Amino acid sequence: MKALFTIINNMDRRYIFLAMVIAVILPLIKPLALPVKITPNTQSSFDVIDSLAPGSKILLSFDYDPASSPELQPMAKAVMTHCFRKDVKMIAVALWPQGPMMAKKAFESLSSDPEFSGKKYGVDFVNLGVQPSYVAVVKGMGDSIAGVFPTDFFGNKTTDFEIMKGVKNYRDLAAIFSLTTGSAGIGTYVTIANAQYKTIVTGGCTAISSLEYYPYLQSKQLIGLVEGLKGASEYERLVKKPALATAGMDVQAVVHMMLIFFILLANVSQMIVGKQK
Amino acid sequence: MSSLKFNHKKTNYLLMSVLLGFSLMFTAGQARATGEITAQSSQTAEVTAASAEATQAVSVTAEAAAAAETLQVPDVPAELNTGYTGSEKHIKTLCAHIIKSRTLASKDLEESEARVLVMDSLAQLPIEKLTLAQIYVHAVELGEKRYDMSHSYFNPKRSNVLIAGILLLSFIGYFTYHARQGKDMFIRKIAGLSAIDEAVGRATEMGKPVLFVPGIYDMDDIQTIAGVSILGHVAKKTAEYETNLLVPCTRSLVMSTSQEVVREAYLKAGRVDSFKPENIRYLTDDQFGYVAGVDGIMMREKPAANFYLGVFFAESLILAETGHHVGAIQIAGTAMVHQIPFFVAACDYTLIGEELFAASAYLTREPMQLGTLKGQDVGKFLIIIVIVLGIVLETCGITFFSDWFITH
Amino acid sequence: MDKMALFNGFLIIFFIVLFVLLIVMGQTLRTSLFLRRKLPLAFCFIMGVTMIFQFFIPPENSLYKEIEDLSTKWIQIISSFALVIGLISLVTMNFNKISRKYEDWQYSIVLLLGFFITIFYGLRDGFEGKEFDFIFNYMYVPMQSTMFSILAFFVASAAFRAFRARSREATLLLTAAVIVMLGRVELGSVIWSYIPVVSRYFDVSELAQWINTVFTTAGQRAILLGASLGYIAASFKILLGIERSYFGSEE
Repeated sequence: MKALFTIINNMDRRYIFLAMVIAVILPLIKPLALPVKITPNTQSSFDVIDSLAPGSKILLSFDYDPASSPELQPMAKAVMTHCFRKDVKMIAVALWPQGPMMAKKAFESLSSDPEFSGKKYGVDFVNLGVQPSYVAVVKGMGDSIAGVFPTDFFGNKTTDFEIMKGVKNYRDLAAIFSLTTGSAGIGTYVTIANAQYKTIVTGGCTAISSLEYYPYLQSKQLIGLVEGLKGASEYERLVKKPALATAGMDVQAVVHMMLIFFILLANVSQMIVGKQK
Repeated sequence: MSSLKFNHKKTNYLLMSVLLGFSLMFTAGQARATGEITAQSSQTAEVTAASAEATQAVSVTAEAAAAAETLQVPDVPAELNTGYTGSEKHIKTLCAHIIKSRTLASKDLEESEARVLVMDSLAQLPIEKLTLAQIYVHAVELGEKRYDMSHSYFNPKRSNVLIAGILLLSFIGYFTYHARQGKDMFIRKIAGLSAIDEAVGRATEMGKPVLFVPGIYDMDDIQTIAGVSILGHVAKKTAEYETNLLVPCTRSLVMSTSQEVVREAYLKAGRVDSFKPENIRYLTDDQFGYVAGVDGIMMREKPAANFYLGVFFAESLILAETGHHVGAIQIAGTAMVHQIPFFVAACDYTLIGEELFAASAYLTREPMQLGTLKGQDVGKFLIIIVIVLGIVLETCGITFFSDWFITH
Repeated sequence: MDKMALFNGFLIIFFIVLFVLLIVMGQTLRTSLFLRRKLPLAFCFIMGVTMIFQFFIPPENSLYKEIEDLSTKWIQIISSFALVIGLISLVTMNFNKISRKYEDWQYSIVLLLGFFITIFYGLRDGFEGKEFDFIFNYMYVPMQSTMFSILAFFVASAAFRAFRARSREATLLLTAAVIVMLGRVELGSVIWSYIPVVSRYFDVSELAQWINTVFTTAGQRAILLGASLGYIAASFKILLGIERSYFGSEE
């Protein structure tokens, strides 16, 4: 017994990695169809978009890169699906250099969906690209969005797009939805766009950084927060279009359980090995 | 070239004259701005006179619209186009609209301030003849004038920051002065910093290199600067022990600075020949590309001591776990709160938050640096008092104290 | 406006003169204490004081925006030059590796090929190019996601090693970690319901949320407060030249 637990205690980490691979692949092959409980933060975020009148315009900020896309890309797609259905127009910007490519991918994937075949670039969605110095960009948009982004991501004049008619700055937007990883994103919009221009700010972020935004939620400067993959799966549930995040949540559930199992195993083995010493 | 030598003491005068130049420029700018204000106010007087004439000529609603146009108040809400009856409800409606007003919203108007504007407007206008819309337009105009800070050089809403800043700096100044007088300053033991010598020593014994990662941000972040300061100390040790020091960088400015810092350390130790600039190299600005690069270096070179000091995000655990796998003794330090748990879990020593900034003072024991540390501690004590006081007052329903700390 | 033109002009002339001076004097003055210490310190002080001054100017004042624009532009200009330094270092280092046939020199060929091919397509077609799109979608994105997903494996191995009930504090940490992990997934609630007594009084997801919003946030704020004070004190030391070790010498 002791020998077995000594082996477990000093187990090569590659066995843990192997168990991890199995825990990731199995639920993807055979989904568990676990129930999804909507948390209040996701619900508030959903409600912000849901309460908008058809034809309203929001700023959708892609503040992440491919590395965080497993968590944030499904979230972006769920939010865009919601907006398309509600006929809310989206002006996409980015504070991260790779953000516009993520926006491009999300729009391309949704516009190929027959449900949204009528949605047009420049009318329902526009991708304004990225500009350096994110604080200056967010401040600048308070003055003029087209001033900060004179052309879209593909080099067309911003003011020529139909969606930009009547949009000068934050005051002409119904809300801001920022998809955030790292330091540029929700925090920047809350401290500038909400504090100085009183624009409604909501958003989603990677699970690891969600704690950072809790103080803003408490002070109501941030209305709702879609937190990580779990939040994304809840949003998919709310728009009744389960996709990658819902599948990912099965994986996450199994992986969490496996982690707890390994932690317990480590402690039991430590106790036995330690006692017999 | 020797004739070009500078008298270094005189650089202070140069610095002062540059500053003087700056202040003169600002003063000149201010004088001109004041001139502009006078000119503008005379223009406003003309406009007011003209609009007074116009008032008599046109109908009441049209006039409100015209006034709105000149004031650039784009929408006078339709519900305001009713007569003013002097009720409290009307005052509240006006206040609400002024707060929402497009022209004044950027001034972050409080309800009390809006109320003052409304009451002042009511006092100045023949209210019995006017609609709410006209009072609203007047109040907005009044607010625009009152809150027009385009010619002011101080934002009164930030006076709390100024006071707190001055207070903190005076503590630091006071203790720095005392330290210069030769007063002894106590600094507690910081395990992570004391372990630096041990870690470099271990690498030397094992004949393996030392790896230093200065974080993924540029030189404009204080954490990177603190990291590079520690790099100087580590480099001094590696120079003394003749151990290889590897510094992969994600920003080219960090690379240049690190090269300079390490070169200087080797020069001081009299081992400038052992300095290898190619060991301090730029990998990529891309976060995960950099992680892949550093992990690769770890797997190939198998360093015996790893230092992670600076700004870290998701890469913290990837680096620390790989380092643990290759059997290195690891010292980490960052002020990124989300990454501290990962470092604590995977490294031997972790400098938490401010310990990273204290490193320079701790390692050099320079009295001036220790003085700033002491001043910072007193500042922290003051913050604790303020927090406790704030909690008590807020619980009793007294809000002015915590309101004062809101930064705009 | 013209006062800013003056300010701009002043800075531009100042930098031109500085660059010319640096080029003319070059290596000879590398040993000059003035160029290596005092001048950078003076720069640091002037720019720091200017930015503090800007913080206290009302945003409506045109000077606020002018200083902001100016500093943003200069940062962009200087960081573009800095990027060139980095690229030169990267390319020369790898060329050297290949030409001198250092260990694993073949990887340097892959690196340089990737570098030049991406630059070529990026410059030729911009973001709309098919090839650039291919590089981004089918090489860059998967490689980034791979590196990020390694994190999941490392979290598992680090948790296995670190979460052990060695002391009272470690046991607390371990318990909190398990509760939060259970609370973040629905499967956790199902398992939680089998725990007698406790599950009747507490909902695991609410408990996890409570740990996050109360304990974790409080701890993080404490660290943040300390770190922010450290930031201010360190900035002050740097502005006044008390902290000079990042110049490479503690003098």
